[in-house]
Amino acid sequence: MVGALRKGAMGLAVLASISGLSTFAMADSAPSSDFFEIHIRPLLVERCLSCHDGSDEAESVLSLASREALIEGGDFGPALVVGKSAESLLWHAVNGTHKELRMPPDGDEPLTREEVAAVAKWIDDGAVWPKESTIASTSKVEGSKPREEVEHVDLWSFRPRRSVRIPTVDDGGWATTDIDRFVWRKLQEKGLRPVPTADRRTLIRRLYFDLTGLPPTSKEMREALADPTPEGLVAVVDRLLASPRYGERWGRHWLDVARYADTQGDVGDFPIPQAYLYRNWVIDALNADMPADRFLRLQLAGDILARESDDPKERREMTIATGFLALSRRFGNRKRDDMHLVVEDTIDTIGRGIMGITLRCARCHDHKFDPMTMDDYYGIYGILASTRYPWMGASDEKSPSELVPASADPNAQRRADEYWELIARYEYQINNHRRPWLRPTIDEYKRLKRLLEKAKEEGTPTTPIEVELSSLLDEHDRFRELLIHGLPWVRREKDRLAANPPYEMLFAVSEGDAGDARLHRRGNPERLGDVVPRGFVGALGGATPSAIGQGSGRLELARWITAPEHPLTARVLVNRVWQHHFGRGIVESASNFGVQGRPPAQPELLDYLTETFIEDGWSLKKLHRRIVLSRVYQLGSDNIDANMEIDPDNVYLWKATRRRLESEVIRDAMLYVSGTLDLRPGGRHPFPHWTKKRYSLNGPFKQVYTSNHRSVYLMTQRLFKHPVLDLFDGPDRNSSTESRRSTNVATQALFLMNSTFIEEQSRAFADRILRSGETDDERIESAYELAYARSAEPSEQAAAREFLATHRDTSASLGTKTNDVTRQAFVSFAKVLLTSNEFFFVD
Amino acid sequence: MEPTLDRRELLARSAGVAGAVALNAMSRGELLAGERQGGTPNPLAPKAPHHEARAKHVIMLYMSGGYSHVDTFDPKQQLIDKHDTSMGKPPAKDVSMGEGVERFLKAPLWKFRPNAHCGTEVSDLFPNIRGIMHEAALIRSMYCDHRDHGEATLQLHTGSTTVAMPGLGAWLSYGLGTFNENLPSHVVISEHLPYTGAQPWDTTFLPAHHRGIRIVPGSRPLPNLKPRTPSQLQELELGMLARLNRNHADQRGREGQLLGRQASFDMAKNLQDAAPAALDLRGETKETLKLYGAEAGDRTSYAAQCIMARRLVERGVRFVEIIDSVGACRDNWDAAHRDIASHAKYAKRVDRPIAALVEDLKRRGLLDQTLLIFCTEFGRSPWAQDGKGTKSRTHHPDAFSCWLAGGGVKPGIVHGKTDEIGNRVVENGVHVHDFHATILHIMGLDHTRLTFRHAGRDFRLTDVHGHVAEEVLS
Repeated sequence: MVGALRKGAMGLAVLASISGLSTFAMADSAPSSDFFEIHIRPLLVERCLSCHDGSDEAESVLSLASREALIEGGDFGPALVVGKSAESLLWHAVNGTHKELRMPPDGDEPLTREEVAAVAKWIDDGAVWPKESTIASTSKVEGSKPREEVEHVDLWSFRPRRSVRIPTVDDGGWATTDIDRFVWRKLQEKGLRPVPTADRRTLIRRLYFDLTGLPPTSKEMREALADPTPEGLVAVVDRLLASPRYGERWGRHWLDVARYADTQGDVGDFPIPQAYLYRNWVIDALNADMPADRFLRLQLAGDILARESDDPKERREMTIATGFLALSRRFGNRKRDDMHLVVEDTIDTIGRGIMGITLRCARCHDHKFDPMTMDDYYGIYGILASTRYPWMGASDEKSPSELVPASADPNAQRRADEYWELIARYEYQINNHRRPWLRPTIDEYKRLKRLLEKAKEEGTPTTPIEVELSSLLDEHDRFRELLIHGLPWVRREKDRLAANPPYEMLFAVSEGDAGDARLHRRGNPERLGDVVPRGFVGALGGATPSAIGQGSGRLELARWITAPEHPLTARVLVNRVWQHHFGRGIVESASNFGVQGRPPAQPELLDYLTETFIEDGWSLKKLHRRIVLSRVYQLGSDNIDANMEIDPDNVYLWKATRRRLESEVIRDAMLYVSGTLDLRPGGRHPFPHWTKKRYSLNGPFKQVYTSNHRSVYLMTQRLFKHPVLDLFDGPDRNSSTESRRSTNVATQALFLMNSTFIEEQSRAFADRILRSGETDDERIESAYELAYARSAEPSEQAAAREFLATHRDTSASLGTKTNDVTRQAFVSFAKVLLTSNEFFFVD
Repeated sequence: MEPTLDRRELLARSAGVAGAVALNAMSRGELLAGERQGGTPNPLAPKAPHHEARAKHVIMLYMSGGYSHVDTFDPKQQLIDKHDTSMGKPPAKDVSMGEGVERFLKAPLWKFRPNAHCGTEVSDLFPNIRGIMHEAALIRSMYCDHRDHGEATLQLHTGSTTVAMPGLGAWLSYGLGTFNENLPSHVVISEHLPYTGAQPWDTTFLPAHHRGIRIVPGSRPLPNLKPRTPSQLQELELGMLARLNRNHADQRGREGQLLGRQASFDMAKNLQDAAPAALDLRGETKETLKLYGAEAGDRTSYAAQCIMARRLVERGVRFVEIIDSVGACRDNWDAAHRDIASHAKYAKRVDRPIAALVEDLKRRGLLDQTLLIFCTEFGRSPWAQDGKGTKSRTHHPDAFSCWLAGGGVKPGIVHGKTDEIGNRVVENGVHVHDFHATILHIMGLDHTRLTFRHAGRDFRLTDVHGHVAEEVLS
């Protein structure tokens, strides 16, 4: 079994199962035919038909193109005895048990044990072959359908947006915006009655969490409530959208999509010290309300677009934006061994993240449901294979490479590459200087040097020795410096270089050698198929290779994706914004707008929003504003039993869906309320310099850096999860996250009951409460104001007083010092407030 | 398997079994009320299997690093006869860096002897395990897809060599639920993090309830398990919290997710109280401790870990895995560029406790309800790794040996065969996917039907592969 080969096969299988699985799962109905389609047909096509396709040109007279042909057989007689694998030539030939025949012939990899077993099973189960089906040698199983032949699938999301008319509704003044008119019409249609609007206090709290990810302070709440007019609310919204907290909150949403992490994900999980620049770029771009088409374009091709800018600062920023691509997940021990998986991650993130399509499925076969082919996949693959990805290192290749210099000098990239290559060269010499196989070379060099010295002393001719020396060095050029200067010199030189990079090095992509890629048959990079011209997605009007100019095609791809007429990009983005405001997208499967995704609950509304979004110059802030100022956003979260019968999941928005805070918000809100949150933007993480540490499978990078910054600034690892963020259903850091879950598990509660983190926050919060008043009543009141931005009800006051009193008594009886009794009681009280449902849910 | 077990009965039963503090009456009521509204069904409640299960629990004994099959469970006379004979250089595809070193066959360091009852041969590395081999089905034809530890470890647990998928324990928990809701369904006893960290017991896309809870043997077995305040004060806090949450929920139509979150505190409290008891070996008799070779007060040895596994299973935990890694990844069964004689150290540590576990389960009537899995991520090469006469054996994914024992397993048999030097499988190959399919089958699950929809398609543990090895079933 060859590691790499099988690895490819596994990846392939994962994807092949997109159809395979569902058919397998339906095994009860038609097992054998499915078995043939999944296990036998691909095998015949891939391994046999090139010689056995039954055509006149075929190398063998035996045809494996139909069941009848197999039974009829060839020179050796029948190849198939139905029901009896042990008597079938076909099985013996692939199993290696025929005395003369062994198939596939010499030089070809034999079938795997699994494949041989599948052949046996298929024969024993009756060799079922779908009726009147033959296999042509150019079967589509491993190749791609020509793009122009992709069947027309009437998929709503692939169609252009329709210009929709705002419905005129008879709503008795319910609707306050056009959004509401669409929603009202739908509610009427479904027989749903909306709940009343939420009270202003609830709404303010919702807006704060929604737009900034932090609760309002009691002062902010008071100020916001002071003006109960609609204008008052608008003012609050505008203030929140202008707050730097907005970019941190919504930047985090985008980082979910971008599967952001500060490490590579390879076996050593190498840290990426510069990754934070991309993270901060996202936050800044959102705060500046950068038009979203540009926001996306820069992430796909900022390095190329940067050439058009004269401003070094802007150029640097644009390059940093390509962190979106550069932060694709890495695998394995060596940099390029699993490049096809790295590119797959990029394609998946562009596909699901930006366009809402599962393009990745077309890696191994044409997409089973959506109109996308392998050519579509490998058309984009070629663009990314023409793109250089940066590396911070790998287990077997420890030094960084292909980082992008922040410099306008046209020679900078070349010089940076030479710099890293030289370091890698020295690194290689240092790593191998003690290898037994190098020993003879070193000895030989030393012998010649001694001879040379001797010749010089004795005045005999030195030229022959010099020639020999020189040819030895040429032959072992990889070790030239080690041989000439010795190990200490090489070490020193490497350290000197590593400490003095010629430029600031960014973790960004850059243009590589442009060229088309060859298709990977059945997704296996070791089984290359035809060259596929670079292009986009045919069914989306992107199969025009001529559009690609000199470079990789990435800029053209970026422009195509972000064109206003692209049917998916803007819709997908608008839907994500809606999803985060309402807890569910208009298309619930926010990263899959394909056949297997969920249909839009309100297609016209989505198109209306998308259309106005584009008219507004792709302004996200205007979109937020339009959404949160609608009536439907401002509904209460109460239930109506009759509605629950019709629409229990609130798909049609007859109320606001109550939501638990996301992991980052939980942590941020706790720090904020306890007064320990550091609101300054986070910078780089305290990673060790790359020369100081080496990472591998046996010693992967693993750290949790403590910090009081907002959670979006915490260091995020691919292989190891952050203990707090992960516990409360944080994002996947290894692939694009469509939506967060909200689970209730006992380990979360244990954390809230017993962890150091909660203890620290409770103490800090208790001290804040204690400082805020003299009496229990004053302190209880301010505790409620701090935690919930509201006053305590009289019954709550009473309950809290009772709790504090009982706590003091119990604690004193347990021997707590008198001085500590009150503080302890307030620490417990603080903990209860911080971990309560009121703290954790937004109405 | 009691799929129709009434939930109330289950609650009562589980509380009884664990000797745990009874569920707070109010919140249990709420929990049940929540259920009636369709709000918070217990995601870990026992579920009906696809077919009749042959075992209820799994104890997986994973030997991290890859033990040598030809030194342990797969005797090869040829290696002795042809010791130091050259096989030539390895094919280029099997060499990841530098030049391939010429391969010389290497005789096992330990003598093989048969089990007295069934004749299955096991080497002197495992004299005690040999003694219980008549209870086990030994598979000598295991193989996997990758020659590196990380990928192979992931595959053994999740089926995938690349991106982390849910592990076997997570799938079982998802498919079957568990019997004691005060304890997790899926427990991993792992003194050190294995290769790929916590990924082997992650749930990835499966619901978080099914994630393995890692126990680190010793004074702090679980994070956040130990209360920070005396129990009277903790109860005050939890009472106050329940009160606030009740008022909050009352004003909000007692919505399911609100009740569900409150219920998670009740479960946590029960876990906090039940877990230490489950892991506390003070109640074990001297005789039992002696059987395993554990000392009184011992909380960390492999013997102690095996007793904990038994105690967890007794209390209804569905899946327990013990990961044998002595000192992280640098001190385990990996004998690449290390003397294969180092196996003795690791074998000695686990041999007696594992044999004792089989006996102990048997005499308690638990063996036929419990599937034991003894496994590793790959085997070791029949040749010396670093040239003629050298001491190490390299990674070998093409053939290795694992065994199953207990519920649903045909005892005393050997399944599958490797060639005369143990290089490749020649008969009844059991790929890791087949291994998983077989384990799921024993547990009552059809590996083709145990699916979860994620990112637009149905995923399963065996991907699109896997055949049940019928021959090992009882």
